[in-house]
Amino acid sequence: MRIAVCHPQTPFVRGGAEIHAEALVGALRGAGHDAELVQVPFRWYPADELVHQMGIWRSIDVTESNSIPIDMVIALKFPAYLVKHPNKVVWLIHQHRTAYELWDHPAFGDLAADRHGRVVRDLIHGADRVALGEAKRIFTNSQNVAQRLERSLGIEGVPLYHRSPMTRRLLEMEPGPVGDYVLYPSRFDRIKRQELLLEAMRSVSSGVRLVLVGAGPQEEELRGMVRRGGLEGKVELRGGVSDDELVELYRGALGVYYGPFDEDFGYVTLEGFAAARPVVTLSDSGGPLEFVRDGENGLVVSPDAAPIAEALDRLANDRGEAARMGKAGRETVLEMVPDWAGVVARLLG
Amino acid sequence: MAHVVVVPTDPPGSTWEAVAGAFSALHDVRLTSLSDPRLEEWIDHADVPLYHVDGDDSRSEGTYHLAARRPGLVVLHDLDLEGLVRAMVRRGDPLAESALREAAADRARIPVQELGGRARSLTPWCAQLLRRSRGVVVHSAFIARYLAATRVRTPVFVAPHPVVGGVDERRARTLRGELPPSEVVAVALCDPSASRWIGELVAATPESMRVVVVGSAAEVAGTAERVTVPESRDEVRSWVAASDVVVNLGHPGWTEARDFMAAAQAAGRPTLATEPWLVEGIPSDAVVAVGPMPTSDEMRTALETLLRDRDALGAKVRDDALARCTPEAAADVYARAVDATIALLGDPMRDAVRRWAAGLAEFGATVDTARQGLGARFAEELATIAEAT
Repeated sequence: MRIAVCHPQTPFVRGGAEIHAEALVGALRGAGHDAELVQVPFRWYPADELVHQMGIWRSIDVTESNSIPIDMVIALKFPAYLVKHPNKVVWLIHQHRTAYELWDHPAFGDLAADRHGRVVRDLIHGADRVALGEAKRIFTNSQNVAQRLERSLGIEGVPLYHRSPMTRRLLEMEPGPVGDYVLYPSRFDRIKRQELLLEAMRSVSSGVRLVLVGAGPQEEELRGMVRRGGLEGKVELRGGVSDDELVELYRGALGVYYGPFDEDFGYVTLEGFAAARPVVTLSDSGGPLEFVRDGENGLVVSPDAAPIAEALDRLANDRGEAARMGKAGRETVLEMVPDWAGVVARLLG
Repeated sequence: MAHVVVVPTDPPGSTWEAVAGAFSALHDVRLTSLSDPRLEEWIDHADVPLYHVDGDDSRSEGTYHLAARRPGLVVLHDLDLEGLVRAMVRRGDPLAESALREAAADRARIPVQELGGRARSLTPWCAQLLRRSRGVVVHSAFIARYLAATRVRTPVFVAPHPVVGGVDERRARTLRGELPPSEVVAVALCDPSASRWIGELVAATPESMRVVVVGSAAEVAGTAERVTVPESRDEVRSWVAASDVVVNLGHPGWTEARDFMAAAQAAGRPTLATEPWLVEGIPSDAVVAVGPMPTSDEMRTALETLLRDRDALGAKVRDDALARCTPEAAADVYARAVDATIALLGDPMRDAVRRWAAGLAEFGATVDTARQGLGARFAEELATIAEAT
């Protein structure tokens, strides 16, 4: 089949969604299909830009290319799933969250603050009803995203987990020896809440260290927090690293931390587990909670500095327990998350 | 030559009948009707459909529907489609609610200063039809200005109202002969908005003047002996031919009055009008205008002026009408409107905008959304390309 994977891409930003889209194309090609990634540069501000983006996706014709029909479209995110195609499958990474559950969030609700915000929100809701209603099948990348979709629009989506390329790579390797640092690889962005973890690091009593990997708009602010907090000896901000370096960081860690606010899915959880490392997450972190079971394969604590510090100290003070939970985490991935062959079979029906 | 499918009113109106011959010489015309079983097929294969619509629901309701569903060029014979829209409402027509809503919204946008105070009271009942059309032909510059004031963006083409004969001169002479030789005849063309001025007019005229009242206001003209109310359209035209002067009291009298004004022009009758726009198309020095709420004294003075120079003024009106308001001139505007509409339909930018707008409309975007600037950027950027090329 000729399959177009449609994805809005924010130039110069690379995160889980981009990895997801590329991995899907790779898996489809691996299954013998002619797959292509169709991307449109995305910007979500100001609000009228969103309407423009909606118009772009709705008006482009992806029914054929170079006079050859495109048999299927798999769309992953708003507004890419607004595209018209008679055989459209949606594998939803997330809706436009500030038009839904983040609408009135004090920190992340930027759409509500726009003078056109309310009108644009209503348009997005209308668009989602129309475009998702057209889809032949709707999958979501997590239970969390499926629940949001059900709550907001009453549309049913079937959770379909998948393994990131890093997860696959780590699963193919033997776990490394347990180290002395906790790893948090994620974009430096407010919604990822690295600052909460830095605050916790000020009160850890063990010798546990923290390695932050990533890049993003909050990087300078985080560096400032490390300096002001006198955390230079405990915290290392590594910036962006290569995949090879990240593999070694996972394999050499004591544990992995993943504490964003209401994450859709979150590769970090599965990658930490694949490296046989316990994952510390927070009770409001969304997607990771579908995999992390407190005390079994990781720790789930409330989103406050003190319990986070206690969790990190617990891993450092009982490395045996950390290793045991990490091993259980690896089993969790193998049990819960299908390989790509299984994913492709589900997507193509 | 373009292939044009023409759907006239049922039965066809006199204006179209006058223009049809000349128009058919300019384009390849297929005259059809709503009852034609192959109507949709003709429209499919035409370069553009041309619909004739007036305010009479019995003549135009089907065409209104067709024009809304299969957009093309509309010849609007009445600006006032109230009767048609109200009939649609009574019948629970699916287009009725939006027709009312769009008319009300456009009415609220009419700036008073652009059209004069009383025009504010007019409701653009044709708003929906025009918004769904690709072009519209009207027969008055005032109507074009009125539509522009309602912010209609559909291209508007102004054709002269063809002045055609058809007056029964023998009947006119008979009518005249039945009156005392000294009696002067004034034909007063009125629509409902002019009702209140009939009394003023009768009071303004001397005992030797017969007032022939035409239109919806006739019943309020009173029972004065020197007031006549014609019983048929043919009789009206005969009275116009028999008259010394025509008085148009409509505001702005675009319904029955316009047709009879054309007859007055053909007969060369000087005109008294309440507002200048009513008689656009007639040389301004052949019209005596009074204010929108004329007193008896105003009308008396105006009538005296007209009657004093009636022969010279009448000749000027007739000569101008015969030279300018010909079926050929009207057909030429129809033909140019067809060409412009075809160019519009064939514009690749229009197709791009259509796809864009249709996509956003599916999501709930409305005219009001676009008015806020949301979704308009695409069209604006296309416009910059058009300007650059």
